[in-house]
Amino acid sequence: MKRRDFLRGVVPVTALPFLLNGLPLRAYGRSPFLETLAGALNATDRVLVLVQLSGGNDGINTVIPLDQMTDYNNARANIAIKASDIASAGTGLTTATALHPKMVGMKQLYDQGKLMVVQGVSYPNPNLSHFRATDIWLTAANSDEYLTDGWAGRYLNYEFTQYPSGYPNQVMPDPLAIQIGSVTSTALEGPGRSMGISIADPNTFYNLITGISSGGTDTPPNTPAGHELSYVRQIALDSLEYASVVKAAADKVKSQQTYPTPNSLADQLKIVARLIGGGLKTRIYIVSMGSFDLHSAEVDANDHTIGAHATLLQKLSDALLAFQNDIKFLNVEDRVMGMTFSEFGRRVQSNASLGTDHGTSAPVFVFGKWVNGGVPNGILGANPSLNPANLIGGNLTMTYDFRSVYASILSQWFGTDTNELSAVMLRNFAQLPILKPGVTAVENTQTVPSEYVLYENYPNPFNPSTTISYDLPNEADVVLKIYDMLGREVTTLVDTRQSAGHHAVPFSSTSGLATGAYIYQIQAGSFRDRKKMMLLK
Amino acid sequence: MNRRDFFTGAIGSVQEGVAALNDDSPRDPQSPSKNSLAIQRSRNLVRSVKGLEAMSPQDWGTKTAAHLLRRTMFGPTRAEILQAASQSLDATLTSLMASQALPDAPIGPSPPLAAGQTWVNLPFDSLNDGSYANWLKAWWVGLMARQGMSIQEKMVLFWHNHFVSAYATVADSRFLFRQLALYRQNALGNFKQLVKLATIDPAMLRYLNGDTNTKAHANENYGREVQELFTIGKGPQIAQGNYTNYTEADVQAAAKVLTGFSDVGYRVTTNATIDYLFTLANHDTTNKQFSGQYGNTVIQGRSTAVDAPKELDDMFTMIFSQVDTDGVNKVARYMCRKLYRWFVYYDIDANAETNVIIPLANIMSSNNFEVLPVLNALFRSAHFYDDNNIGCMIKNPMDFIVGTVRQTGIPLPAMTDPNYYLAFGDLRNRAAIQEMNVLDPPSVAGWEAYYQIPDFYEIWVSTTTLPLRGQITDLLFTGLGSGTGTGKLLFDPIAFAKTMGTPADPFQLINDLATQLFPIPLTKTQSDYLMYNVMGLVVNGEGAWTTAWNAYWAAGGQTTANKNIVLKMLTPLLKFMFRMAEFQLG
Repeated sequence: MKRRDFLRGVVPVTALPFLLNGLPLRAYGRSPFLETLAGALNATDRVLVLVQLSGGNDGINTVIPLDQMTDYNNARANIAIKASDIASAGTGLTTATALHPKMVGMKQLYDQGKLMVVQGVSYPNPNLSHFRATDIWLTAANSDEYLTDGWAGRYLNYEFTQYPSGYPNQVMPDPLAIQIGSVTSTALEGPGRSMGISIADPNTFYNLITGISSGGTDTPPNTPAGHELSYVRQIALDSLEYASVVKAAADKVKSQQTYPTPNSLADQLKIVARLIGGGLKTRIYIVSMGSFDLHSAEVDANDHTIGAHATLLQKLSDALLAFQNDIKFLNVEDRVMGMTFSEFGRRVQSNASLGTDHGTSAPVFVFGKWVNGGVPNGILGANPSLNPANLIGGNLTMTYDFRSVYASILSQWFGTDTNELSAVMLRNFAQLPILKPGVTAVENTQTVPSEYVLYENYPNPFNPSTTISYDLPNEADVVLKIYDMLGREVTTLVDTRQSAGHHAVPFSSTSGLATGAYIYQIQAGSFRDRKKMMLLK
Repeated sequence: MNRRDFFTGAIGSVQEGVAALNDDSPRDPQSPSKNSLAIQRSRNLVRSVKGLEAMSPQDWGTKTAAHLLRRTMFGPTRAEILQAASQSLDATLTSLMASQALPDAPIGPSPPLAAGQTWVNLPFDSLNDGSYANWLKAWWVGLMARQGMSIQEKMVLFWHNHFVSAYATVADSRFLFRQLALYRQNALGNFKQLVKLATIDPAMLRYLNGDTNTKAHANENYGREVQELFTIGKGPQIAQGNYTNYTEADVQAAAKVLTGFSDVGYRVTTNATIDYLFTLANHDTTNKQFSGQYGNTVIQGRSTAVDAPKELDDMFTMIFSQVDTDGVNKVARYMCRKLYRWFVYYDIDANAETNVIIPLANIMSSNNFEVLPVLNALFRSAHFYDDNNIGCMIKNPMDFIVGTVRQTGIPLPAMTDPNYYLAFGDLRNRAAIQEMNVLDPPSVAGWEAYYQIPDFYEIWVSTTTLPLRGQITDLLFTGLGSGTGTGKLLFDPIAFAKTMGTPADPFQLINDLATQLFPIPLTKTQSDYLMYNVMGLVVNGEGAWTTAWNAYWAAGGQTTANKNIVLKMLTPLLKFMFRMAEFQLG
């Protein structure tokens, strides 16, 4: 058994007690081994959001090299952004580097230390076909290597080796990965199967197998065939294994921060925030926005700060800011990081139709509370050189391999070990300082809670085990008991003095305990609360 | 399996279900008709009002041809549908109904059998018969999948579902091979003749205990089932032990007629002979008194070894001559209802009863119970091709699995290829997991989907089986099965798309795929969804598919890169279509 397997699904805790192989963790004392475990536990709750920008984003007009404005203007006078426009928008990051004037939201994230720019990301011998380049990014393949499984799928397959056999289960009751859309991304393809599910909308995400684009617009005819079709569709809904957990998570979140509209990326990220906020343990989400393939009319001829590209960048920027604000509001900011990517950048030289042709390197944005953002680390790498002498076929050279970014996220964010990393990434890539130092090791992301809270047990319904967690703002004498519906005590889980903090107590039903509802009740100082849970055998 | 044991412990719904086989006729409004549930549920559905009158010739075309082939074959290909549509209905029926030669016997793919050697003509091998049974099942699944334009295997499956025997009970694979050959030889033959042969078939004698039915110790098992399930059918219980068409006394009388038959060679390891045997000493030679339901017929006891077996003929003559109060032959009506549920729809409404079942039953009885004229009439009828009868069948697991590999043009191993057993054994397993294990039906009544009120076909699709179906179609893209080479069934989406009319045109491609794969048309919403959300094309940018497709098929264009561009759009499309509810319909 892998070290982490038996710990998965246990709610991360900073305080005792909980049981490890039947022994109270306290019995191990404060050993380095324990510290490692704690790190691994934290890792299991972490979420990665991948934002795909389809079509090939013009990185040079996204992250603008203020230090090379002569070369920049020479190469693309008809679409170039003026330094003065950047100055008035206030989107400069440093004296050398600026964001597009419409990316005010992402500039704000940068200032908060929650955004990082990785410069010049590509791979050797870049491919300029949309499909092939997208495949390379999604599968983390070499330029001349054809893979059918995706990098994220390989990671998930390594972590959850038996999937889908035996899933969902108590250890991983939730989808491993969720794609907001209709068909799961290649990135989520594991060996021979997809590791993810796709969701167009948590309330009507059933269209994957029902084949209807939205509920109710496509009612089958009132014939025998229509009758059987309706029946099969209903079963299709029922049989989406994760339908209920996804719906339940979505339903738990009653309010969210405002997102910009119309903004399809914001729509998708709002769903992601809602599912994370609702407690899904899903590791990876994929969202996407398209139309970056701007061979023409990238900018307005008279005002280069507006036009198709500006609109897209503003949507991206606004959506990411709203998302980050929302996950903070939902108290899940600690668990989330994300990255944007596009299959390639654009040619340095613009074309005559106010657009750019397919290129190579482009910046990748990494975002989240724990990224190594802000000054001085928030921009990784210098601006790629636009000097014609330094270009290859009119394209930028590469600073970082995109797979270095993946590998860094896997190891620094998910705690992937060396063996796993080489199995997932297929070869070794340099680590980049993507996350703040120490986040990986034993980052205690917990703070002392401000009030008493008794949480819903998880999972629920359960069989045979579930975890009950609660917050103590102060040290307190705690009694936690389970009762049946007739008020008879089933067991006492806690009866001791406990320190302030978040506590989690596992409960395993005995074989004698019947299917049905049970009450768990906490008394901590003057605080008293009770909740219902369901044992379903 | 002893059916009585099965039903003793069974839940009520199963008993109701068997009742559905029999007493659900709407002809008797007084009967506590179980079928009323189904009728009630579908009362507001638009149903066919047509009857057995011939379909108008101008209605013969792609849609009707596809319907006929879907119902009579496993997964017709586009080429087969187009061929049928381009020739006449008569010509198509001639092909479908042509008598088929017996296939080569199964040969084991691996030791203990030598290459190319069958076991069905060898003495029993107790150590290996379990493997042989699985090979026999795989052999049959392969016959279904590799069958040409013929109704043969669907009819063999019909007879297997009618005259049920199961390996779990019979436990001698050679017996079941012999029984299957009987059904195959008589697939479109004379039903009356087939009943007689099935009655004394060694596997049936084992399965329903005919082998232990003797003068001294009667066993009523077969005597009951032959009436209740195989011929006349059980009607409503109108008095203690009286099921309208027969009584408990008739069960006992029939058992007496059947005494003396036993099988030969059962699990015998020293010689290979398999047969039935009539032993006069075990036969009850007394006169057999049947009840008033059979007009108080007496089957005269016969007392010589040559004559006594003829009591069987006497008894079937009696059973096959019974008519309902409306003058319709009871056995013919029962069988036509069963054929209707196999080929048309499960819910027999008043119109279907009056204008389809009764005329069909009259054809059957007036043709001395020949099956062929009945099917020919049904498959020419306006009723069969009515829009309201198209697409209303939920595919059973064999139809789904075998049909899918067949209609997608996946290369299938030949019977002489040892991988044949690996590949089709895998398909057999997958169907078994979906609760259709050929040669091991759940009870003597066959699969519930063909009698269980009110769900019928819907039983096949559950929250367990539907994801399994999706898993199968997904796996075809990377290779289905544990084997290698021809043992792994690998779908080639590009080759499949190439068989469509104008594959370069994405509108036409989706249309052609839907026409072949689905019995009912897609809505505009759905086909738009397939094009823009699933293939990923953009409005007014649909030409991206055309460009990709044409680039691949241009001279020297078949590069991995071009292939991947095509697959990028085509694979999601096909995976999605295979998972659509429409693909579950037949």
